[in-house]
Amino acid sequence: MRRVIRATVALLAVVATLGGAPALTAQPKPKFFADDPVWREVDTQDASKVARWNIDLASDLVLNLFVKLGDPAADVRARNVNTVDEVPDSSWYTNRAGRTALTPAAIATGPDTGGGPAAGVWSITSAKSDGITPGFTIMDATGVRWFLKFDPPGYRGMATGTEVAVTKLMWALGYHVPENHIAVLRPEQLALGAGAKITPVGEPERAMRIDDVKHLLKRADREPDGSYRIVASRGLEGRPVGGFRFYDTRPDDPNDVVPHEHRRELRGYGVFSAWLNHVDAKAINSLDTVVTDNGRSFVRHHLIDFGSTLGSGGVAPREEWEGFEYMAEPKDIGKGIVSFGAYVKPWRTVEVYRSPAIGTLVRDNTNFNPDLWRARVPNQAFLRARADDKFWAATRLAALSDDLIRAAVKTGQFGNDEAEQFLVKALCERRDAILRAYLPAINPISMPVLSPDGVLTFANAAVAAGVAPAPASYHAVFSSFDNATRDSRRIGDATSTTTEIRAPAGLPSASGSYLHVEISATSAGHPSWATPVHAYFKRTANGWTLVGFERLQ
Amino acid sequence: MTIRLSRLSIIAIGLVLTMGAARAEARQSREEELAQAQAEKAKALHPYEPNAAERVIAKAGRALAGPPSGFYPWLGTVYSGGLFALGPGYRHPFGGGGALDAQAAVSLRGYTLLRTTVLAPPLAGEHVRVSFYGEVIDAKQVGFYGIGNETVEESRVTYRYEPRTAGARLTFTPVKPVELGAAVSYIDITINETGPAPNYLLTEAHAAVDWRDTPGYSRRGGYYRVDWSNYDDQNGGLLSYRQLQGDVRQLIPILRANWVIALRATTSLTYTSGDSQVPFFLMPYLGGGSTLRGYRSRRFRDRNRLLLTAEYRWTPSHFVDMAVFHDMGKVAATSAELNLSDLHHSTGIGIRFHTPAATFFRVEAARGTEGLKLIFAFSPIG
Repeated sequence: MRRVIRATVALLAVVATLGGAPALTAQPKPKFFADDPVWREVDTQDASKVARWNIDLASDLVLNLFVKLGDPAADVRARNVNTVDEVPDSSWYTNRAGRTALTPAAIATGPDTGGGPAAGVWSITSAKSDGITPGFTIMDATGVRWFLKFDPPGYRGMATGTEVAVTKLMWALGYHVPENHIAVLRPEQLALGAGAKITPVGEPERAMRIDDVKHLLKRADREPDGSYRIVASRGLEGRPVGGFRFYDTRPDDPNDVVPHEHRRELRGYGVFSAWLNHVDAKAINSLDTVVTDNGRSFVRHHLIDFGSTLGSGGVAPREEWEGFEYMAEPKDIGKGIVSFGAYVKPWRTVEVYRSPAIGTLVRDNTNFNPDLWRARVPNQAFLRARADDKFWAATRLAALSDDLIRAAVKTGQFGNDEAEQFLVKALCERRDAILRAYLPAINPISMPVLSPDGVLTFANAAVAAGVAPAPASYHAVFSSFDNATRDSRRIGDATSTTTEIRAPAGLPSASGSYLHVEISATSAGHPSWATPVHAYFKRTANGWTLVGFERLQ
Repeated sequence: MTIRLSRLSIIAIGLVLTMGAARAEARQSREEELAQAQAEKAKALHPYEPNAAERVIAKAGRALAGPPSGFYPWLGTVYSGGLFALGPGYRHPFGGGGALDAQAAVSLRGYTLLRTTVLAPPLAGEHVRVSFYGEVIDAKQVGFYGIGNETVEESRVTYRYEPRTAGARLTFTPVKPVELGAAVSYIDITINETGPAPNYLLTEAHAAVDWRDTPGYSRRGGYYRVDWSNYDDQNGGLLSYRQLQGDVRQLIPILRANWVIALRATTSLTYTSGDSQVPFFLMPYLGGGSTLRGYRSRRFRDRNRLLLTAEYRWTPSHFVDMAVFHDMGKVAATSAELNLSDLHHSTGIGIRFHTPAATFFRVEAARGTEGLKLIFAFSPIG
């Protein structure tokens, strides 16, 4: 018997050495697969068993304020980007601005599939009564579920208009958002649905009464004719299973395999939040739903509730400190205590624009610094954003023209032309400031194309956006690339003063061969541009196809 | 040499080759790589379980988010000078805004409290609130230094003060921020078991304007209130008296509340008829954590009182305020003597921890002519 075991072990060793070794030992995987770059990530596993969870607001706030959550590693490249450094479409994100041509009409429509709740009786199924923001869940006359929210008294248009306008912008930027409409509620339309529940402050859940409705409506802005201007948010498709956190993955979702702090669209959400002054970008303001499509169930991830963005604080105008600092800044407390008040924070003195229609927003945004912007509470994905993530987000913003922004703002129906124009101006100024901050910060060369005859063309995103002058020259180093071993072998280099460079002779010509091109720029004002971007092309029957792109390795 | 392949060898070889093939196949496309990662995770799915820290914070958050429901820990003060008190509370909401709230507590000085309040659901479109209350306090060592503005600390003696109160209160808010109110109570008081034991029928009325953000914490606004009380001694009337009290508080924010100047003036005046007297244990007083902070609790008492307070506050955080303050006040036998001469002064510094709507803890150090006093309190100063 011992002899048989010995023979087996020996045989295994031989097999492992000759044939099985690549499988059992650390065989380097090829850098590129045949299907690279992937533009659509598919959730392959059945997620129908994902259960509803409730993210506790207090623990979410406290832990994010005082603890670094998620992956402790620093400077981690986003893990859900494809091989050309872009975010594929997925259950999290759909490429729109910067990838498809958006029109003012398209952005004004955004995610909308209809025109808001159907007229007739609206049957209340539950109420939001957390003591701050009043709100109802209703079924309209056609059985569609809607969430209704209001403006605070004296601020007609502020919360509702902001919610709708920002929804359109977030849709354009690629996120899954609900369908939000400005609508009119007449109190006589409301009827208590069978089984309608409410959980008043300090009370257990109980059956809702008509007095509860009256009580909640008292906290809403009322039109002179007795009606209420509302934002009606259509119930999302699928079964709601709670929000998502901005770190770790959801333990019961098999398809959620990339830690959220390492998802580029969530890191980039920080840039967009800075742009929109979305100080409330926390887990509670997201919602996952289990959607079944063609018999396959998966979780779709949405961003919701944009009532605390721009100049609106939801139930009141934005407070002056919001956008400037976290709710708690432990490092600053000591300084504040010993200074006896002599330490005056910048937000105390900055000039603001105030309007009941849009709330309170910094008046001059030309010098807006997105790196100094703060949500109310730290967001772990925002904290992990690297220069390449911010660059990615900035390229998306660059695609939102003044006209597109104006079209989105118009959907808010703020009812105050001057305030609306200020809002458009502020958004354009903040967008431009973000482009100035993030596009030139690292090598902005993008969209490289190599023609079959060896002419390399590319764009300079910073120059194209008008936020940096053209560099003195561009330099490209061409190397053959072994996809299996990942080794590069230099062929030659070339320099140009334009964004077109002719490759040196000797490029591989065999179909399936790879080419590695390092492109840098010489710019006195931007030394970081000397660090090359890496483009990888694959030779096909039709010429060269871009299969890889890395801005920061 | 002949190698005989055993059954075990064949299985092992098959396994190795299969694994190799499987891995090689998994690496043929990016899509399959992702699918493989998802399949791996699918083998170890589990529902989310909050960790211990999350559970504790969540519980604390619920406690701070609004009034409790069911049993809760009550922390506060039984009677000034009694130090911290802790005990169980129980709150039962009912009827859409109504609540029964009961507490039992013991303080570090052994003072005890039993209290029940029943707040009826709001009436008349929430303009009217009615509450009923009952309370038993046993304050075992209340300091007494004599009557008048010039008493000395060394004269301190203590007495046991045991009031038992039952009553009803009505508040009417015709329009915010105006509030009117009235209350009627029956108070049975025992002093030192064998001392005076007056019974009072107390009737009260008040009018107030409160335009601070919230009573519990604010950086702006004002609070102006007048109280009138009639203490009707049920044992012959010798201890009957009336009291008029005014309280004015003003908060002046500067530079978006980087600094806040808080000013307060309070006066209490008592009136008697014929031979009746104001009992010493119910006289207006100065001294303690909410009046003249550099002096011991109830250090000065007499029939009338004046208190002036000025605070310079600054706000190092959204949850922490600092303040330097100066209190000055006096007590007097007659209202004519309530002038600005012979005031007692105290100066101090404090830190306050608060939410946007409530001050939950403050620590202050104040110095008067009788030394340094430390104050730990669970209520705002105003």
